[in-house]
Amino acid sequence: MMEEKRADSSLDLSHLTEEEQSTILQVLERDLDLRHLDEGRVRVLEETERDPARLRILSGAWFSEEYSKRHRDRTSGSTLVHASIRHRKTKNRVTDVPLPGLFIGERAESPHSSSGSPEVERRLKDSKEEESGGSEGSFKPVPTPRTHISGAQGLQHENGLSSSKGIEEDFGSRNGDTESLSSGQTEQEPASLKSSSSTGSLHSAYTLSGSMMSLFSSGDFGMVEVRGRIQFSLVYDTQKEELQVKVYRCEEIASARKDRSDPYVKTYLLPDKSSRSKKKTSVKKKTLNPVYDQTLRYKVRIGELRSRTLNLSVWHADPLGRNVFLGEVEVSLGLWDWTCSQPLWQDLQPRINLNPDSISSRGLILLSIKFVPDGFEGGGLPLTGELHIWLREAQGLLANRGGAMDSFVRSYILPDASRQSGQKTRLVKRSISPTFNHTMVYDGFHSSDLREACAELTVWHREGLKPHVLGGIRLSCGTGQSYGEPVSWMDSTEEEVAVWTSMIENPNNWVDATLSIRTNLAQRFE
Amino acid sequence: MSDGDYDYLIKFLALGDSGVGKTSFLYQYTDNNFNSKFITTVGIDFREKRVVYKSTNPDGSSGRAQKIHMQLWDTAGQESLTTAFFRDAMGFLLLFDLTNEQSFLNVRNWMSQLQIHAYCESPDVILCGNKCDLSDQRAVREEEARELAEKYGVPYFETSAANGQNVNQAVDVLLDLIMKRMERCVDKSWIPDGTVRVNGPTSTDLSEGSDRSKCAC
Repeated sequence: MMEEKRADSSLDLSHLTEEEQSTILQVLERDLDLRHLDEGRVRVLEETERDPARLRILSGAWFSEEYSKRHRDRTSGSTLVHASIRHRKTKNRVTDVPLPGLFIGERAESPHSSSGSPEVERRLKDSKEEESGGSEGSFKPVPTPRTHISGAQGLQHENGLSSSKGIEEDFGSRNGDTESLSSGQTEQEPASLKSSSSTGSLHSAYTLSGSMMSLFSSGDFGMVEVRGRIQFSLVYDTQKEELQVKVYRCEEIASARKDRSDPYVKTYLLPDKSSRSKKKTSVKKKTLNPVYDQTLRYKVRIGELRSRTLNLSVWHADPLGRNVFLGEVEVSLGLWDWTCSQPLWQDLQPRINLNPDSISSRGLILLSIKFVPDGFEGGGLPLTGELHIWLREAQGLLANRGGAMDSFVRSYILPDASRQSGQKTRLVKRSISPTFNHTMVYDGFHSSDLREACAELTVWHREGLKPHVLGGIRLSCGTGQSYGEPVSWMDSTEEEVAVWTSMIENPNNWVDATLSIRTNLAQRFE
Repeated sequence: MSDGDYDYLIKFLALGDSGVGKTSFLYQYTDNNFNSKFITTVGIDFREKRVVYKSTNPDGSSGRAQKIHMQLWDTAGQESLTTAFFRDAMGFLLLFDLTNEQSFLNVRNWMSQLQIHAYCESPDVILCGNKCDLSDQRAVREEEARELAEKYGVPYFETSAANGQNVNQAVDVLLDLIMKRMERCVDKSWIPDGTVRVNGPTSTDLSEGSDRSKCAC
């Protein structure tokens, strides 16, 4: 039988991201613990239980015997998956995977949800997108409400927004955008330490490479009690505009495996969590008192320095890539005494419990949203329900480099089978709190569609020629489903759901919202 | 719960479409709690619970109290990975969402996956129509669901992970089915002269109409 043949070989798990595999592996490790516990119990039983029939059911032998009649190989599902994941991890041990490379073999959207319901497709095709106030796009020859909204566009601030002079660059194809979306900084919730459940969240994105995950996870396998200290010094070379992190040594660090560790030190210049910011010393084998005497260098301007935090973490290098966290130290460079270039000892700290919200928010987005049901305005107008998104401004935009940036906002309505729902604002230059005052209008809605749809707004900034996404929001009912199919993008937070619901419950009324620009939008493939 | 002080390790698995409430159902069972936030399960997960099982003898009296350590597997709604875990479970909770007709239509697919991947041809299954608290959003009639359950010869419960309705009952019935199946093994498997008597359908018997109550051991 085909099924059993496949069961003999390794499972094809290429659709799982590294993070998902790690989550699953943690579950399997717990299962393994339970199996070992049970094996111990059975060993005792085998000594004490005289009745063979009772032994058979108490030990669970009745089950495994029945099972082996069906499945020629006695491998449990758990063991099979475990082996498949570890095999895959060994293969892909390179920790510095360039982000585009992460998408090779990524999970494809499951077939039944890629097309959406036929009804929706038709509607989205017919919808005439409106970009009121934008410098591109068609204007529908339709009455007053539109004009009123266009008028709002005129309320934009005059100061310093020279971009209204028609600088509208097409920042690349949809595909390019999707990739950039994923390259946005995202994080995984710290691994749960509760013994009864370890549910991974799909919100934590698919985009982190194994090494980036280390910033937020507490070491994949086995929590080690952090001990010891690290000696380092910081020197800033103003000539070279370079921060020199001199790692001298560590003392009395914890042993990750039976009385040994193969430690190395890794640094990040936060809030930059990209591979650019990550640096490592070499690995010293079998020592709890490694000596490095290595300098890690960062090119950074002095003005930037003060807003950065240096994170030094010590890790045990595991041959299979399951590196164990051994402690860390964080230094706020704004508070550092730069006159002191002497080596300093600092005690290693356990993984700081991060509030995901504090890291994943890249600023605030202020908007108003309303839904006008068909016929609500009288005289049979509007012909179909319309969704109005009045994007006012963003506040406190935070990119990796910090400081003012050139930004714009994109909107999509999902599901977007026809790929025509994209709209965007103009580019606002050199600001961390840009005002857009841009209204997007989408029609073709019935009230019932609102529960199945999602309005996605993403904030982008331009670095050099390429745009990068900072983060975004998704307004929906957050049910995880659209038209009966599970979808990844119905992942709204409670606040986002509240705004959307309020809009649905108050037709034809503006609902004002201030929402956090989050970086953990679940990946979507179109 | 980290000691080996129990009589039986019983493994159950919850399956069904994404979003029907498998995680919430199990969480309600183990923790008597409900969280309305939807966080999709990644691949696979499990929860544990210790319970005491007392069987009822034919004369109505209670049998011995047995300590059960339950391992409750929670699967993601996507098939690919989760079917690998079917073989590890002794009993199944097949959930669909009463407010989602497609999830009910997919029960058929899940049943056939079970028949292929589970430890035996006709494992113990409980069918649960979940989210019965959302009465104004109901999309599946109780009669339809009962009909399907009857066709498969499985018990049916209308449950709510949100308010706990029938959650304990459903799991208790499943546990009872497994324990009874095991006890039948004790009764019939060994005859003093060492011959094993085989009872019930063999693995080559594919008909749905086979007597499901017999233990094939």
